[in-house]
Amino acid sequence: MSSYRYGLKMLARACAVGFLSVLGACGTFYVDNNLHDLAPSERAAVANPKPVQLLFDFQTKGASNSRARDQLTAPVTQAVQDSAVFSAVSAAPAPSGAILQVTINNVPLTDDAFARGFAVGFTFGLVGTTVGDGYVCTAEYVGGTDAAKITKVERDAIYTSLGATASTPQHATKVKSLDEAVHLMVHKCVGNVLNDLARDPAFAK
Amino acid sequence: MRRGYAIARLAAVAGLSLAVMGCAAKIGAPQANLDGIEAMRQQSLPPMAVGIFAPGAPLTASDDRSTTIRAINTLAAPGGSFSGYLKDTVAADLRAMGRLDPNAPLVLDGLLTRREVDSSIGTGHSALAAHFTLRRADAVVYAKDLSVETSWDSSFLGAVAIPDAINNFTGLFDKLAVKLLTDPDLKAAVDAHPQ
Repeated sequence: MSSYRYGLKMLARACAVGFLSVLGACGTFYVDNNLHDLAPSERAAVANPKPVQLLFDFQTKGASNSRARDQLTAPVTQAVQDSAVFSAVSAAPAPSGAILQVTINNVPLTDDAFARGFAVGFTFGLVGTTVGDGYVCTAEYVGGTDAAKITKVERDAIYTSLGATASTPQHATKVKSLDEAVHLMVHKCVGNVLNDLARDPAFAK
Repeated sequence: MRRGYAIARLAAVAGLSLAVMGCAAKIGAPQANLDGIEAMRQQSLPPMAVGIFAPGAPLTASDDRSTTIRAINTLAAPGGSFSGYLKDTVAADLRAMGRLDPNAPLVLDGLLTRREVDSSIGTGHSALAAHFTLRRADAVVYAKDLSVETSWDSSFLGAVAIPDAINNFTGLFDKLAVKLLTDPDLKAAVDAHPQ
């Protein structure tokens, strides 16, 4: 088969499977268990929470994805508020000049930069038509106009099983829909990365 | 098996991207970022208003309304105008710094002179350029052409390449806005023409 014909065949199959995936007709979604939603007892205690200006960006392979950013701004804001690390969260400048930038970057799980961040390989056990998407969640914080930046990073993954013969991902939790998977991933990532931030001795300065 | 995995992976990437994005051929609202704000803070700019943003030669009004990606896919400008989107982006950056004031005597204007997005298989490329002016009491105190560009790996599959092209193209608007607001010549013009 010529490369051109093979390319067309591959394109047609990919579009068909992708379309069904979007519809959720044959896709089953899982969220990795590497991170979990923090219980109140696991959260760092912040003695004097301060107001913060929240900036959020969703990226796809490092490029800002404005459409996805619009869709996820509300759940990210909610997750920051739920963390109780800050007394108030707003898109407007905070009186102290404190700014929190949360960036979630959707990258292939096979990306070297992504894989290096894990003690346990996220792709372990992924065979056949089960595939994974990685999410690198970065929190950057400056406490004021002259404060040094603090950076923390957490990683999570969403797996999609396509078709009846797909394998079930290990170390992952099955969810009802892609929407639930994305919201769970966001809440876990943001909650954990802000907990890392709050535990940093430089954060209280 | 490896070929099947590759196909499934491409499909899932496209599927997840489309599902998260809702619709690929749309652009979301502009948003400031920390790196840009930190750079802009060094400028200590006074409050400014954003004035008239429009297409400038050689860009036509039609060019300002939409562009095509992979020949047949139309990307409509948000709000009907790419130059308007640039205005909104500059305003978003000023607002995030607490420096946007519609009644300020300093007014920023812009003519969008170039907007390109090429998502050819292999390497994609995008560029954005504008002619900016700063007015105080109708006197132009700053006038400068600024441009930004970027390139990226562009997929064979349109379902992957088109969202990538849109993301890289729209990301240039904030880069151009930050380039303007961190331009030392802009700061010098403001300082040279105090109220």
